[in-house]
Amino acid sequence: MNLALFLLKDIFRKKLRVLLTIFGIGIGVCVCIVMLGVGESIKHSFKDVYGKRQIDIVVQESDQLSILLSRVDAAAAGQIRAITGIEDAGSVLLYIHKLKKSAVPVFGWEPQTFLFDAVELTQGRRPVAGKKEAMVGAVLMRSLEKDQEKQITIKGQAFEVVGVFKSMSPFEQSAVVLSLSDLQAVLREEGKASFVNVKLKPGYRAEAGTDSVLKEIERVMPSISAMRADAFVAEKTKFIVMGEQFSVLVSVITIIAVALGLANTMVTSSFEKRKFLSILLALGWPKTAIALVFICESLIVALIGGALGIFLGFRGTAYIFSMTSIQAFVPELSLAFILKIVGMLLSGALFAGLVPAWTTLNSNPVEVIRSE
Amino acid sequence: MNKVEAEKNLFRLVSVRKYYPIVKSHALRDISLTIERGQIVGITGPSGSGKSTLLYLLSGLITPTAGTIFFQEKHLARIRNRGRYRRENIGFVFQDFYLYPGFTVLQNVLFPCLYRVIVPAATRQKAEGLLDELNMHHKRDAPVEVLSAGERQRVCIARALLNDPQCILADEPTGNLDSHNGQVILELLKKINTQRQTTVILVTHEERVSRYAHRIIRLNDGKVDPG
Repeated sequence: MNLALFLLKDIFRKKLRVLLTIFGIGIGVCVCIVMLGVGESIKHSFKDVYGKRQIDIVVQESDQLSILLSRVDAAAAGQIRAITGIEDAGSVLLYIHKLKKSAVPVFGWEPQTFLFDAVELTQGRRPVAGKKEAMVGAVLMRSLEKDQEKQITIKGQAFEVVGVFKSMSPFEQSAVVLSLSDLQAVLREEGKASFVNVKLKPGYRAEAGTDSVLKEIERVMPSISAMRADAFVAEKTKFIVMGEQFSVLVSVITIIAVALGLANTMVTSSFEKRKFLSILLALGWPKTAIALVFICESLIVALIGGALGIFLGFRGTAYIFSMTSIQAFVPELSLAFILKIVGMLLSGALFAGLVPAWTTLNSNPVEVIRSE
Repeated sequence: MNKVEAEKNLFRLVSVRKYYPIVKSHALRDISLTIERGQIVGITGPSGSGKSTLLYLLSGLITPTAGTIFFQEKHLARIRNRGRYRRENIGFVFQDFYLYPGFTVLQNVLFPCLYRVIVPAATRQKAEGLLDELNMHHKRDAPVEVLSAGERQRVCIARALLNDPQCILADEPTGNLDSHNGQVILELLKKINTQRQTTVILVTHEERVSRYAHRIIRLNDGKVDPG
């Protein structure tokens, strides 16, 4: 037996109490993860659409808040391509289609543009304009295969699925991609696009280069608004950020409640163990080792509870997405995000361990030993 | 004091007083005495006479309100790492045993070393040897809850001996034992004292301790009773 084994054995001597504490911490962490995780996942999904596909600039209708309502001339992409510093530009028409109970994004992509390069075809081929063909993301394909569907009907028109693609963006993994002109025809919006995605030449990706291109686009087409992709994402996810601030506040309160609950358990545990720990002092244990008993107990319980909470939180976020019709968003737990939660939890646990350690070490061991 | 006398003394107390302000009680009043190495010293006296206070002062768990305690002529209050002082020099035996339930006999004996990340194999062997010496080896893997009172006190003594202390401080070691087991424990302490030259300081109410002790210190109302 060594110290670690002693600590573990000691912690689980009161199994029910420890398990209830662990479960309580798990629920608290789960709530934090779900609250922060939903916003985080949506934000990441949006970001990935742009960041991972090397889209540097997004051009949309001026003063239009909703990307779905934004309309620009699809031919604008041609004009933009002519501007110095631009490698490619592609018009995109976006429509949200109700497929059974889910909301599925449908993209109309301008053929022969870089838009198609960022997705990897895993089956079949790209859709050809005018042939009523579509390609779908891998996640959506799995759902279609379950129902043995090979066609997608949009506004009464059937599109044959001719290709399946994998995308770095979770948003696109559940999307349908048509040729731009086909979606324009279905929506009866010939010549229109929701926005234009722009890819810059490598030499223009620095801030100064991008700014000069933005100015040039707005000079050539004064009726449209051109934004850096990251600014565009930030604007479109502004509502998430506001919600996230609220979530952070609630999460901090939850973690404080969790820490207080844990501190309560630790104080109860310290009352039970005070005599024994005083005996350990008499047997020559260093004070730091006594403090370590409390701190390790608190940290171990918090870590087990935290791991349970992270697992439940991840499943909970996935469940929430599955309950809503937003198939495009997938729960994502970045390392930084997990570390943030774990950091908050461990700080709380440290506090919860230090309080009884301090109380015990500052009490008179002889009084404790001789007390009934 | 000459050098020979100094080397003979394990503890030397000079005008030691202990006052508990919360209960406004003078537990010890102006105690001066020496305790020689290798002796069995019985501390007797009525309840509240300061016996246990004296024992715990020697352990360094509490400090005197006034006066000085010397351990091997070192000022005890100036020893900064008193955990280490106890670990290396003191073994405790308690009336209520204070064994940790849920752990085996061997694990309980190892407790003084358990603060270490890894308990050395030699320490483990030593613990087994002590259990053997105290006729408890056959129960080394038994949980302490199943032991009789006499067996528990033997485990407690094995735990006290683990670090080869110079001194065993025993607070009413026979207080929770029947007459027979009480005698067994006193004989065991005598044997340890004889074989290991370990100083044993016993706080007790028992009159028969005088048969085992080299010296009896009687306390009354916080003072050494000269009678």
